[in-house]
Amino acid sequence: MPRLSNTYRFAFATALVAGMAMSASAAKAEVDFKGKRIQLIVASSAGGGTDRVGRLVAQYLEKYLPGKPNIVVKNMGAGGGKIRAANYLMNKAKPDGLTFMQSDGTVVQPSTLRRKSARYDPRKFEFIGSLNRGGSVLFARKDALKRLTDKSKKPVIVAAISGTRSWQAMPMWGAEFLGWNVRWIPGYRGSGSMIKAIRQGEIDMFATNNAYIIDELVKDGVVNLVVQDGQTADGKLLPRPSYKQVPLMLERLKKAKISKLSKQGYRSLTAPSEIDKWMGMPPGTPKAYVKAFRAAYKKSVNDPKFLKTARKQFSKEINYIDGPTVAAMVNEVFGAPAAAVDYAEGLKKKYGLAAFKKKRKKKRKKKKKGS
Amino acid sequence: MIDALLIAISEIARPWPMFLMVIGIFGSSFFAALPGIGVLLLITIVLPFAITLDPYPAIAFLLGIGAVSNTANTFPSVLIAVPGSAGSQATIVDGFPMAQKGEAMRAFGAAFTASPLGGIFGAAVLLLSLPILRPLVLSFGSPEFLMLVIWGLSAVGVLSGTAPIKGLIAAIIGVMISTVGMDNKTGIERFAFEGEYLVDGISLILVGIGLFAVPEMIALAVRRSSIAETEGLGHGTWQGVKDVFDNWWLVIRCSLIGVWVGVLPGLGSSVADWFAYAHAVQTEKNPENFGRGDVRGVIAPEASNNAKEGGALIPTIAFGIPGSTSLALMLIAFISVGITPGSAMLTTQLPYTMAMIVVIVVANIIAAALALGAAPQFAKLSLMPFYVIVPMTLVLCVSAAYAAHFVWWDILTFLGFSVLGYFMKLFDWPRPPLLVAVVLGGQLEGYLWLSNARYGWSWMLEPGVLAIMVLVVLTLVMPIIRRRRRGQAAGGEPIVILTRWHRIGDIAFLAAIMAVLAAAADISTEWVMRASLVIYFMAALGITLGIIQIILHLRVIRSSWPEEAPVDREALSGTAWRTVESFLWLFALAAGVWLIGFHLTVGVFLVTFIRLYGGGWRITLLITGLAEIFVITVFDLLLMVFWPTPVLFELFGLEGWI
Repeated sequence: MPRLSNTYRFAFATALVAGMAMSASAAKAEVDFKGKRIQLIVASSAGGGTDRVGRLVAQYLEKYLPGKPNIVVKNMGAGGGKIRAANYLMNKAKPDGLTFMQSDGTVVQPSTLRRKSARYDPRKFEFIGSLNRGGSVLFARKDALKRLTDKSKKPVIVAAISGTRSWQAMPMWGAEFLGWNVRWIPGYRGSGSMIKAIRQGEIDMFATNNAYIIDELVKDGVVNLVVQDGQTADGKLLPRPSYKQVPLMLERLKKAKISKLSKQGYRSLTAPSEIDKWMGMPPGTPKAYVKAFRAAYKKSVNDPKFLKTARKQFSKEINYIDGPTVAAMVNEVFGAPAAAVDYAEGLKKKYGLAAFKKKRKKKRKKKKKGS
Repeated sequence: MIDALLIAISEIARPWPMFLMVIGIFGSSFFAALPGIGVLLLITIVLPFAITLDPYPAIAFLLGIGAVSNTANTFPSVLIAVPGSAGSQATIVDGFPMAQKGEAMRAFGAAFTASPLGGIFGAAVLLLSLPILRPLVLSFGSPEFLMLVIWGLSAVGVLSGTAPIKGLIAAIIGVMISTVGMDNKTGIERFAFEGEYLVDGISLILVGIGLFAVPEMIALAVRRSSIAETEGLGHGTWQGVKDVFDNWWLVIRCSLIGVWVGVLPGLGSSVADWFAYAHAVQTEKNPENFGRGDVRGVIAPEASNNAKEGGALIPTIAFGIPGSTSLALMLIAFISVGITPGSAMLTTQLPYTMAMIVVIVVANIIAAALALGAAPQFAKLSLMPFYVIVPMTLVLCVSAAYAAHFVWWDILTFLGFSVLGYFMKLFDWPRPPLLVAVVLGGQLEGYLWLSNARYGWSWMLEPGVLAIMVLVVLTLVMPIIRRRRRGQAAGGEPIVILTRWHRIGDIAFLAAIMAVLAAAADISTEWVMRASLVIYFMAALGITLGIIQIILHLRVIRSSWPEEAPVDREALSGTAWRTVESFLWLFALAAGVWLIGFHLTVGVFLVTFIRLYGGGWRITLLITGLAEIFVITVFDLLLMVFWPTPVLFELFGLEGWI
């Protein structure tokens, strides 16, 4: 390479910088959704919690995205629901900046990926951001609380919908390390049936992050709050502001000096639920689009009007997590060794909850059917 | 309490709440009359607006929508045998035969009188049960629910009519369908075949339209006439109204059933109409007319499904336990506008509760008047020629199947149930038991598991359980005793007389069903016992019953072999060809949606069908134009559907074109 004089070098550098600046501004100008129709895939049926969060955020995104595009919601509810939506985002959705998804924490849970129908890798998604509605709080009927630490008595009955609900980690690790006297009955259909059952005394314990449910049960004197998962703020796990007096389960476990592996196993279940209601784009979406969405998302969820509505509809605590942090949290979850996930699944199996083994490559052996 | 009621009335009677209520009623009636689309979508659309309202206008608006969601859905059920929603399936059984007899107006008169009466009765029960609301809901645990489900399943016997064994096998198929998807107690994805589509199970509406609507339309296409086999429609409306008052006791009983199914969250609100229908058949005199256009078969389900809405509000406002997704959405809206469900609804917030009751009553009356006013126009459909009705209904069926999630698999599932429904109709199988079992099968398995897991077998000795058990036995035994006393045979004459060839065909059909049951049992061997037990049990029972039915067929065939008159081969092959032809049209319609998309297919299908079977250009263009306007207004403008790209468009890179 011939030697260049300083002047030339300077001119070259200037041209380079100018060119880069121009191309950057060109890229910026490209992200204009004027007159465009953007598709929001909601990974739940119309009316579910995920659906309502998605639709509400979309109303504000329409306002804050450059060019004020029209956002059309498509529900992928029943008929495969969450997993179908995630598979779609991974394998089918075009990364053209005109498709994004609203989903939730269970989709980025390692045990969900062990399901046979799951064909996606959440680490590859382009995360826009997330809303966390506060961690789950575990509660028990007042009359059952005394039996919780007394193994000579009848066990405290924990309701379960299926093993995938992250709050099950609290009673499971409680039974394993804090000597809790509990027994599970899986198979309840949803929060509604568990509220009824705990009031009747058919069950003694369950958890939710829904403040309305917690407060009503406390107000009517049915339950006492036991422990909570808490929520991460500025990198620290803290109790929910409205339930400051309720201890964090992880703190209790730390005091019990549990092993590193079992702690990782615990986090593999609970960390994804901290991510809660996230939005993301297909892998390979151009960075400029992702950036535009992240910026608009941040403005949307910090809009005072949005916050007012969201607090009314979802939870008093609405915490915004930005896209890069969501991606880091997902990476952290999946960075945990497979042994930690195995550990968690092993505990689930031990206590009679739905557990998933590692996916085997081999398909089900084909038998001749009928006859 | 009177004070609260007066406050409620004065708040609701203002212009703004009344205006919102009327808007809600119009919207609700429109959506309810569209099969497969339903009021839930409307509530989703209005929710962002509703949460900005004040409490009383919000109550007027949301309950204006919710309380009457089961009124206008009678239109498609009666006219074209398409269930307007999952809650109006039972109306088809007698409503459609009434339309065939030219009595559509009478059916509407009866339905739109029974509906508001049921709704008002539901509101009255809500009012009277206010003081005991909370203990009432809490008195039913899993064991009691289990017994109620068994009580509901005992209806299968009645719904089976003259074919009890086939009715039971149909119910077993229904239970098997209910097991498809994720099993709550183990997390196993049953019969999902490692794909995602079946993980959440099969939606009831696909089963309903496939089973009822398509077989009727095929029959109509084979017959090549209008739905009504009479010349005119007559003035049946008043007769229908009179019928309701003649059967006032039945209306009250069925309303009560509706209220109860509504009150108990988790029983499956889509079976209230079947419960009421079965109850009518079980208790009424001359039950042999049911299924052939008996007006009581319309009155019973219509009274119950409106009463259900009032009942369903009880757990929602007493505990914040919504019985359905629509109610879950309303609950969110209520909390957002400052109405907090819970004990306060009976004390400080009592006027809100009263306002809900007032709105239910007023909305029911307005909606029924509206429907009665529109009835003469709708009823004319039953006089239209088949080449208009058949293609229109098939399009409506496919759009209803598609509208749930816009997945092409749903259309495929619907086609499967259409074929199943056709064979069931051909071989005289009772179809209602299958539908009832789809809803209750999952509940039966779930509550049996929960009861046993919680209490061991001792739940059987709970007083509530014993009381319901007595009821179950009484319901099963009473009709038999009464018939004995009157010296009647059970069931009466069969509707279809099976020929020898029918029986041979039915044996093949039974063999196919048994093979599927065996295959299902084979697949389930890979699961833990907790998830597979119900499959083994049902498969074993189904195969045993199948063998018995085959033996019965063979005996009849042998005994009648020489005597039976030879079949008219020409007529038979004509019917067969027309049937195949009609199915091909249906398959072409489905394939078209997949290949070239919904809008194009609907246009091409309607034009070709109507023209080929003798419609003039004027009627062809009118119907096609109306259909396209309907598709664009409802799907594109109202619901803003993002259509999946049709396969051919994808192949040629024309995504942007649709």
